[in-house]
Amino acid sequence: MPPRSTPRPGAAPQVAKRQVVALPLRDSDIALVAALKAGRADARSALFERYASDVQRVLYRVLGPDAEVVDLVQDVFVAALTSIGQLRDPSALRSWLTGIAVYKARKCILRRRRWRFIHLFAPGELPEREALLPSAEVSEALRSTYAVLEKMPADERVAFALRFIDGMELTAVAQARGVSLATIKRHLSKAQQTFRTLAAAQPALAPWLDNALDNALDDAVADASSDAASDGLTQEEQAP
Amino acid sequence: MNALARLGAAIAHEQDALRAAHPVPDHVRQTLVELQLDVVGRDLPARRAVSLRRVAFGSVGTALLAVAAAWLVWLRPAPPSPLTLRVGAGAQHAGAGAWLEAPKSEALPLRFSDGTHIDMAPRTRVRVVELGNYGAHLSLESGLAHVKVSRLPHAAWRVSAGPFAVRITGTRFDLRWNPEQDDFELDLTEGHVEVSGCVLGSGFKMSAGQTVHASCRRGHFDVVDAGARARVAGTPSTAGPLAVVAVPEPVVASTEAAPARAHNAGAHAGSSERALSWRALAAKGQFREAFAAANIAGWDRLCASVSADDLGLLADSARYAGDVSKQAQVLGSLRKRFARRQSAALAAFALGRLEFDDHGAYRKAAGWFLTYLKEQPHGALAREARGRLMEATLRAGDVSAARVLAERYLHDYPTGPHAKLAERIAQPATP
Repeated sequence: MPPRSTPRPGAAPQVAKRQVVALPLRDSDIALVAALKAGRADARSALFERYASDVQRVLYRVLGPDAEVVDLVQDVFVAALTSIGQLRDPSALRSWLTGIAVYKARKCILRRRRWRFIHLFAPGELPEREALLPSAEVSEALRSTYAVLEKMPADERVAFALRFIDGMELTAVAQARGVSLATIKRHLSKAQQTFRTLAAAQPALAPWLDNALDNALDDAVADASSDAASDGLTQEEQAP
Repeated sequence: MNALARLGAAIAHEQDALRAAHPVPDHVRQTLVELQLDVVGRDLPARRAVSLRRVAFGSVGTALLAVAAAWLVWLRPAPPSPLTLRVGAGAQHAGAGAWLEAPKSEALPLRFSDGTHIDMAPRTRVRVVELGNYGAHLSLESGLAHVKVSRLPHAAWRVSAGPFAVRITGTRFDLRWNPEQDDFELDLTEGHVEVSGCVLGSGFKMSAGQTVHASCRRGHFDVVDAGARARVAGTPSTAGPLAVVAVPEPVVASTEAAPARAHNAGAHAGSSERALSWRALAAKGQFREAFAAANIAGWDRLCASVSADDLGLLADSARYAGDVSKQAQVLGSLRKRFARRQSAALAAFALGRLEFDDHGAYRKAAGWFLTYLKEQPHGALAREARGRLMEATLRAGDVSAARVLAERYLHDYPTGPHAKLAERIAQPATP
């Protein structure tokens, strides 16, 4: 007896083909995971379409604008495709990919740190890697932030980037790192302290971390409102 | 929102803009689609009984593939293996990631397997970023390197120096980088290179005999004709592996330079034309060309000398050339030199827009919009400034202040371009 999935001669294969194409890959992660597990050719492309930006974002958050991000995006997807069978809950595809991206980014940080100790000469304070973008494209604040993060322990850096730069909830950070909530809270607590200490040596970060500036702007904004009111700025007066 | 979260939000905003400008290249998707994966743990269908016929076909197919692979291995020219690097007199091997530092009193030679030579001057520091099949990527961390890249097909070399980058296909040059002084200097002896980064923008092609001198912090670069310099000094930098001819005075390629330098103008007729025409190019809307020409004419000097209208043109040129730091420099000049004039207020508005759009620095942006409003409360851009101030304040995390501004905006401009945003801000938060 032929296998049940073998199409009958004639029109049947076309019908089967149409049914496969009609799977709602665009909307459902469950369908997408099923298609990936079935080895469908279009599923990889759909996975990339749907999540490349998310993966890139997570890598950017942890590593900053970095020349390796593109390679790491590819690594994340290759890892995901080779282990898609291990994904138990297809609806958790996004967080699963985030976890892989975080794992790859952390591994990248640790790999670079290992290499730092086997250089022919000690680099001292020199930068460790090339930047992806010309410096004119990134602000001093961004550059300084990652200069600080570069000096932080990997676990603290990852937790800090996901929590404060990506704005993830604590539980999501814990899930992405594959550790307990208590562990993440501990990492974050240390990370904040370390970041503030190291950021003190970065003039570009001073305005951001200086509470006095916050208060000054609050006053300025209040001034703006009162100025506008006292000046009697009306639409008629503004007409050119 | 605390300070760290506010900083993080600004960083994220800037990163998102960078990501939008540099999305994941499509070749990554193509690679994934075409990749032959040995899928681990894939939910493969249960193995079916395999007929002898399939086994036979499979074996023949495998054999054919093996023959084809052997043919490819033996007959196809093998791709070149990655370059190797030997360092110093002892020819010690070094690989990607190596940090190299020349001794205090003597040069350190680098010899690559393709014949490329690099001599590092004493105390010079170089990092080997990558060793590829057709070239290498090196980072000159500080000091002076005399580079001679072999002219080979497909040669692709790159040397970074701080924010600057030099792309090379086969040439000879001296490269000096002083990170403390933010001083970049490239003296091209042979061939062509393309330098980029910071004030040099996305790429500036240099020809043999030229020297480019650039500083990111000071926001300027100039190009010197080494031919004229060679005549002054008597010899180009080929006397020794690390020789750099002393230059009595830099020759700035501009007729708008000081009269004392006018005797050099003949040697730089092409550059002079560019210097003379930056204004015309900007007026025609050719801002990138105008930007390059203005740099050659001397950016700092132009900022300090030209009229307010011309400063506006310079700012536009910098903006459209993508150099926001120079745009900020011009606008700062405008405010300083033409304080209390309308153009100074317009510069404040432009600075606000720059901080808002390019840096995601919303507090600074709010400060500039506020400055504009204080200086020109009834100005032509007052409505736009009020809207931007409200939005910047919101993005900076000051919701309550933004709400006050939104209410005022709606009162004054109920149909203004920021009215919808103002309505959303002014609405009390729903639980």
